[in-house]
Amino acid sequence: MSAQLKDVIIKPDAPSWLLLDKHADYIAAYGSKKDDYEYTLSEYLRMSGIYWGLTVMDLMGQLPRMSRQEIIDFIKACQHECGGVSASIGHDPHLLYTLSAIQILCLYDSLDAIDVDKVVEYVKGLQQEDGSFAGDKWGEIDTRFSFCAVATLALLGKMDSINVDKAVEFVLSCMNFDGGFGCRPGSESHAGQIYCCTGFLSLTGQLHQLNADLLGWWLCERQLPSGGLNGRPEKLPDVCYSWWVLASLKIIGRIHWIDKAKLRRFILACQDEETGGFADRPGDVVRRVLKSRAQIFLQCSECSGLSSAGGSFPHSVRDRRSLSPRRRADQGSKSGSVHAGGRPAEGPPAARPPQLAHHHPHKHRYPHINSPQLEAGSGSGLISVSLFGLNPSSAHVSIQRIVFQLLKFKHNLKTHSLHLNASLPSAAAKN
Amino acid sequence: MAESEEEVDVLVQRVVKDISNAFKRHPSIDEIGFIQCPEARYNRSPIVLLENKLGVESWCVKFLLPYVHNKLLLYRQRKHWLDREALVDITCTLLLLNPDFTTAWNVRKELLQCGALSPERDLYLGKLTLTKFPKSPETWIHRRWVLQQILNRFPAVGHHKILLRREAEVEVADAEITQHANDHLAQIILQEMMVCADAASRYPSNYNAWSHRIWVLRHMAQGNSKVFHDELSSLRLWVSMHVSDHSGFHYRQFLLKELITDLNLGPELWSNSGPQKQASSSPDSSYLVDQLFYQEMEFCSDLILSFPGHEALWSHRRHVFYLWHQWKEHHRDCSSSRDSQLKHLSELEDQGRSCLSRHGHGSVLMEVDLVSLEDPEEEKKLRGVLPPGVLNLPAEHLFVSSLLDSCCSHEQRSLALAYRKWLDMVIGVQS
Repeated sequence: MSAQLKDVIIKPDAPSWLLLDKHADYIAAYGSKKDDYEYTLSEYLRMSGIYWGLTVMDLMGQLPRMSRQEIIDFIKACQHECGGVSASIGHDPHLLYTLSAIQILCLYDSLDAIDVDKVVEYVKGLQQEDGSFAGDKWGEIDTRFSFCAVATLALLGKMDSINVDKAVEFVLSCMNFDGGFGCRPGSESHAGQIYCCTGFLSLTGQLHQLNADLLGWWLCERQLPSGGLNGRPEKLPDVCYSWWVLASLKIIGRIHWIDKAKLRRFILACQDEETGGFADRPGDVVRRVLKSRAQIFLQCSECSGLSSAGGSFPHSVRDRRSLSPRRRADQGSKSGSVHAGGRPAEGPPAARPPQLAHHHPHKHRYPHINSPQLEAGSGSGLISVSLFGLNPSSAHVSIQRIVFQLLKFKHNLKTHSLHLNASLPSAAAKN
Repeated sequence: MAESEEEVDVLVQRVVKDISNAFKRHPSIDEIGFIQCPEARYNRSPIVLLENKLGVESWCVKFLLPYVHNKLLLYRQRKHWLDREALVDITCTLLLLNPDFTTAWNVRKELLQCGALSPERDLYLGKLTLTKFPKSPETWIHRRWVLQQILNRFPAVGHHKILLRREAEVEVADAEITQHANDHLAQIILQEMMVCADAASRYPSNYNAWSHRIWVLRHMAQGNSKVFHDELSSLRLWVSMHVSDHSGFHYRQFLLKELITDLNLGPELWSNSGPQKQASSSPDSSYLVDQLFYQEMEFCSDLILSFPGHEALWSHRRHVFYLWHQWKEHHRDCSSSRDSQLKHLSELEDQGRSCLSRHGHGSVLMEVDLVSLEDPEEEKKLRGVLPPGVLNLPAEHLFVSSLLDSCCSHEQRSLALAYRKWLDMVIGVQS
């Protein structure tokens, strides 16, 4: 007898459009009750939670609903003597939350609110002899922290303060036979770790060290018949992997290897029609415990997932920090289709000629959406994907915001009739 | 039920004390859990102890957690003083309820550093926490830190190879100490393996548990091939009973790889001349490596045929075959001129092609007489235990096609086709 496939069935009455208003209300309410049991449960990652929430609000054009000054003051109060930033007041500093803090400050153009030189010193001090990074002074090593370190420094324009060659050497030592990466040398490949490592290699200009076809193969095998993605073989699909897997595929130029229509359907079906927010997978009860964490994070993933499946990335985030994109030169697949038999796929990977993304120095919040670069597709948002896509304690970022705009402007969700200049996605209120 | 703030205070302090007393009186508590109970029904403690299981009635958690959480944060901000004993109790309660609260683990690290806590006690708390939260990343991270502290106490023991290299130099008295330390280390390794196995059984494909297990072997048993061999054989039954557990199979791949590296380096590693990577494997070790591969592939074939449609099994096959292929290639490069037995083994393979049709359907005995061995002892060994399978690319193709001929499970077929494609695209290109 054959094993039952670990997947879900999407019911016909599952939501098939994006419930923007519900999601916005959900996020706006995040953490408003400070004595709440659930607030307590997730306070240890609050800085990242705020970051995910802000970026998705920004995506939906509702950033003004969040209190800018309060958030900046909060970040100030979370910076410690050592330069590192903690998840919340009274917690210990950690690289994960240091990155989130820097990301938020970039979003608000307020890097001067904290002592950034000290941040650089903090990050620098966590690099080990073998090039790896500890997450904090207690010494845990993980490729996630390598990512946090370079992402933080890239945003601050201080990448040269660490030994980049050694850092790259360590990350590459975590590469596996399947093209993927684990948390340490010899550890199993995992979509979340893969995102961190491809993002890391993108930021350090080392994408050529990847075997993009092999890695892309592994990544697109994560798609199940329901359209959802899992993070490792024989795990259930989970909406959060829409972010990790898609962003990784995007970075290595293989996003067209998965079936975007099916994925979109899966993601939309994960929405909770009553409360807003997303469940791990269609039909699941939204998790009560760690709800705030999971929801907001999933939310970010979801928007980005939808968007990256449907559109391409412009470069306003990257431009904000004047970063140049780095991407693989060999975007083509020398070997043609490497799809696993029986896997849903859009078609054979197209042989794409090397295509260098251009740096557009415009400072518009949202770039020219009709520019030919956007039509040209993959690549131009690489830095954004790797820099803002994340926060590996679980989640994401700001590329979604832009992508989401695109999604609003250009097409995709036919149930919406969104307008170019609308600051609020009025038509999103489909319900 | 407690209503006023004062009542909550009294209640919570009593519960914290109850938990701490339960541990003092019953040091053999081996599992924790919540008892679903929305209201306090009787005027009694919400802490229930039954046959070494500690239960917390769920109604009290919403009071308990915010209270101990805030208390610890006030202490961390130096707004409220707590003595060591109170800190031990509060962090214990806190972590049993919310084990990902990093700062609470950090407080315990400090308590451990100043001698107020023993490492063993903290390992015990972690073990209990994992019975309820088997994935908790922070619990695993803290555990590695504690183990590192134990290792630092006897630095020479951490590395088996270093220890042996130095053995000649040390006095007899030192040798006794060393023996004692080795026993202690062996005990800790055993304990860690049990904690990991328990967590792995509580949550399928438990990434954190399995990568911890790898960390332990790498830091505490490097070079001690007996431990690796024992692990490989003891895990055989476990993976047979958890055929969709990708992490369990990945762990086997890790063990295989380490054992092969170890065998390949041979005894030179143990001498003063340092490791010699080139062509140092003896005929005996080549034989052992081949044997390891044959056994693993045969085991994998059995599982694939017995449990159709499991991606984890096919993924394991890919990895094992890939490792074998790499090893073969490497070996061909290094020792083509020297290793006569290896040549015999490859002849054996060629001869074995005639038996291909039987491969994959249980054991196929080779004609051992075809091989003439210089060493009669070796010959005897070979007759007795040589796993007789054939391992090469055509044999893999045959395995797939004979399976496709007879199998009608859709999942199994598509996995087999994906494997065939992988052989063509990845191995085929390299050969």
